[in-house]
Amino acid sequence: MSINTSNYELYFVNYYDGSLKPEEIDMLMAFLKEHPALEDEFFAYGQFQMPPSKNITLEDKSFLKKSVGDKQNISESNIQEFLIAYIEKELSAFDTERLMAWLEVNPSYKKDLELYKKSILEPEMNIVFEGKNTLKKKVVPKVRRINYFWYSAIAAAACVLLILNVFLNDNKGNKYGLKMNPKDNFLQAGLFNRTAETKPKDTIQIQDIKINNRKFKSDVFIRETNTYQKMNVKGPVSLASAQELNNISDVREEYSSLYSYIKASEYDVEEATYADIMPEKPRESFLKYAADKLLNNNSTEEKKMDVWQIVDIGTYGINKLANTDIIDIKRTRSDKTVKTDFALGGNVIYSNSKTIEKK
Amino acid sequence: MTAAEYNLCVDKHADNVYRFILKNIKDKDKAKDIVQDAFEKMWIKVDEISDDKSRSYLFTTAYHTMIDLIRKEKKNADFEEVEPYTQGYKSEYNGLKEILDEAMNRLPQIQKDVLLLRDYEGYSYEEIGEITNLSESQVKVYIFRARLFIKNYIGPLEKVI
Repeated sequence: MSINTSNYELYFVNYYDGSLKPEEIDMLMAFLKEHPALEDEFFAYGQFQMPPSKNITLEDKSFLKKSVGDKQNISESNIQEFLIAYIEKELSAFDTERLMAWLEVNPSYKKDLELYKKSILEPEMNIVFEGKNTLKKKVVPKVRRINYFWYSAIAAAACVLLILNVFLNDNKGNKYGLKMNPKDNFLQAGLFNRTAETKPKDTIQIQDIKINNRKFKSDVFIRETNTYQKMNVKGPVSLASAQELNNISDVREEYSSLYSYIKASEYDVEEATYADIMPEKPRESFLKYAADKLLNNNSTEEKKMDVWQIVDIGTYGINKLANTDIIDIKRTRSDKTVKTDFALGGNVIYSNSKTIEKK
Repeated sequence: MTAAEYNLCVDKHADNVYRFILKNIKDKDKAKDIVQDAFEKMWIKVDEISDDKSRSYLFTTAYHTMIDLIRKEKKNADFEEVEPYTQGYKSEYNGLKEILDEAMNRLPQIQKDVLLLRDYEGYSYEEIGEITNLSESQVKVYIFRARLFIKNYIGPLEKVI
């Protein structure tokens, strides 16, 4: 077929499609020479060639896909596919029935089915990884934290114990040097060692709260011109022990909430005497905080601490020891009920409510 | 995942991962190293990985470490290559397990892996795809080929079984 003005467009298209034979290309070039007016049109065809776009893809092809069950007939050409789908549990109940019916008609393939069943691998349970302990990690940070938490709870309990001692005993038999000021609910906290033999001038020795009758060697801080010096002295007992909590049931019960909170994290806790386990640094820090609270009190003659300051100290102790950010929120209601909520991360983790009778 | 949950993962999954790797590389020390490596990697990301994803993470990590090792040891190894039948059969077999082991050893690496994950661990096609970086369809095809191969391999030995 020769090129003419009626069919030249077909040759143009085929040229750019690459489907022209060499002799047809020669023919086309000769035709263009004869008809130069068509050259622009020829080149225009080239410009409008659309390159294949690789960006256009059919993202979800799942609707095009078929499963073996979609095959209308089971035959010798697809029986292996059906048998494998059967042992892979990929066949529907309907297709399983179809397969079984087909096997009844073609029993020689039942042997294949048996072989496929035997091809399923069983895990060798005797192969085990020896020494799994080498892969395990210690949960030291959390255990420490929880232990501290527990000890800190004891510390806080000690503070409450102190408060209770004063409030519940009506100031009677306060042999620990604790006295409540009946007018303003202030504790005259026994944080002063008035009996120390070597008391330097202008210094105050501060020691821990005495709770039980045990004798311990305790650290005493001496404040002198805004610096703290630490020295070891033999003094009265300080700090509460875990055992002490058992003696006062209501305190035990209250703090059992906090204890439950600790237990909830499924870590074992170890009971120990607070004084035995309190780490040196937080202990120092804790005591320094207590001293500051006391010494920064406005009262000059007689150092006083109100109950909340003591709770503050207890909370501070918890935070220092457990590395937490517990805050204590105190409220006093008109019915003389005081409530303290201990909150951690926005959640109240422990609540304590007491009615205090004003004297 | 907490440290306690991580340690629980060790108890729950270490054997399975080890079994899967050992069936592939047949070297206890290397398999142990790979398992250890997988757990160490998980420990580094312990705060990002939830407990329910831990098994999949371990298998994926161990699988890729193993593939890297195999590639390193068998430079330019073709993972599609099938061990030729020319090695023939042994004169005696101690049972089906041995025959299956023989058949497995002749499978291309990828087919062996997907089949082990399927039969040993009961993973779905999709999960196997996630571990091995294959599409679900590819996994199905490899499992089909592996089963067909094993069936054909054990067929002539049926009397032994």
